[in-house]
Amino acid sequence: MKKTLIIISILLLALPILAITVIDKNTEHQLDIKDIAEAMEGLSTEIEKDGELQIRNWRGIKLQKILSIYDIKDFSSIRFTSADNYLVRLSKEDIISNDPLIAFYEDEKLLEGNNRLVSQQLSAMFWIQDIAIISTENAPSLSQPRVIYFAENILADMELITAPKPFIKAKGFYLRDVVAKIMPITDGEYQLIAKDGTSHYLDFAGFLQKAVLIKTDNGYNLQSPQMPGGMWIKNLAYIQKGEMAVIFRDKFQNFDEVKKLLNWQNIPQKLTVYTADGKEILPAIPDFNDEAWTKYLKMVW
Amino acid sequence: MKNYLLLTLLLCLLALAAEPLALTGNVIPGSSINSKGCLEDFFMELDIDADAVLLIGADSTTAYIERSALKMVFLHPSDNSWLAIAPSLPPVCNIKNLSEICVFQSFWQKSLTINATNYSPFTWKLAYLTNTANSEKNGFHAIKYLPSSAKDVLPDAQEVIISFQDGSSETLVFQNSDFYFDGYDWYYQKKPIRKIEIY
Repeated sequence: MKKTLIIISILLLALPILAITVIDKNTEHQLDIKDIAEAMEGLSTEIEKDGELQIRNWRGIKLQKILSIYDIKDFSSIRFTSADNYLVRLSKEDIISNDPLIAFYEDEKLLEGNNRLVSQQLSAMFWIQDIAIISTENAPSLSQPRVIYFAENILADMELITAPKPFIKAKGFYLRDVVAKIMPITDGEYQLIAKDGTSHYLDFAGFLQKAVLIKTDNGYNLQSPQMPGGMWIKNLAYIQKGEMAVIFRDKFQNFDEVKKLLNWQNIPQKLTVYTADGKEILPAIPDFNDEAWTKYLKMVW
Repeated sequence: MKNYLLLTLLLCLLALAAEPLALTGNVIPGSSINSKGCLEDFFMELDIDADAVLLIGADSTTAYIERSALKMVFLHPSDNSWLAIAPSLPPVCNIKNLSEICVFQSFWQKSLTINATNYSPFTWKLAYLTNTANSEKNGFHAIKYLPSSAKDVLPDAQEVIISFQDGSSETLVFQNSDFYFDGYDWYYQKKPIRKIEIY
């Protein structure tokens, strides 16, 4: 009897986890304690911080277990959205190789933010807290772009804004002004990649409409009042939408480095380049520190 | 008599021939296509560097495609109209009665600024359409658009400052009936304009 009461108490304490909705195509599931109670397991993570090894003990349910409970197989990535609109995406490959846990407890105490995605291998920016929605995606994989712009060449003709709203202590450019110059359609999904390889796939209306490219000593950070601070992208290196891409040239030595970061199949052997005076075909592709790149407004692969 | 018949036949054929297919948007005003062929080839001939187009049907059904798909679109005049034939692209790109092709070229100099928002002729056209479906075939993407419900540029009777293309500007009470977009440029009371600011 005492044991039953303890179990019921634990279940009642675990009620906040019911706030997670799992969406697969048009089907919604409310994550149910009854479904997952038996599948709870522990995970220890070790992170070195300020020279000290931090060992943290978590308890929760593996994401892959949740997917198997609801028979979810057909997806290319999983999108996690927190109650405060933080967004993290993990590809199917990332999920299989990193086997993340949706933790509800740390050191056997309920987490303050209800839950947290944890994984020894994934960097802390993926450790999203207070997950409200887990949804499957079958986004078409972005093909290699056909049209390439260098960010530096676009921004050179734009006026640097002091105190772009709401970032009053910064200087930068509104992303919407930059993309309006080159993208036929500003709405839609954008892939944004930082120099360290961190990749985001974000909807313009939901996250980027008010975003600002903040100028720093190292390049540009992307900050948006529509995104929690943890999602802001440091050292932005690449933006792609559809067949059009913007490369931040100073983040790369040459197209080989771009290919490596973006997992391209190949790199241009020949480019048609456009200047203010017309177009020409580049038979050989120089490194990005070549002065010639500064005059090319646009390149077509 | 024979010459007369030949002339009559020629006139009949000319009467049946389709009007040139208008190219609008971020292109030089008056650009058009006059014969059958591949869209990409026409753009090459006309020195148009299109990154995307809207194929617009007479019923306003519109298909958006990007640069790589242009070589897959074949234009054919037929029965006083134009056909867009694109078997390799999503079905929405096959348009029986094509009325116009709206072209996007980046860094287009002509624009209209309404308060802080800039429009090119292409993005202006797009602003009056609603995305209804995304589709993919053979690795080519297309977006189907339909006209948005009619909307005014600004509420009537709004006091505005209008900057005209000739450098002059005027403070006036805006009337939508005085505003006109011809596919390439914007006009107010028949004068080309560049900027509208709410006063």
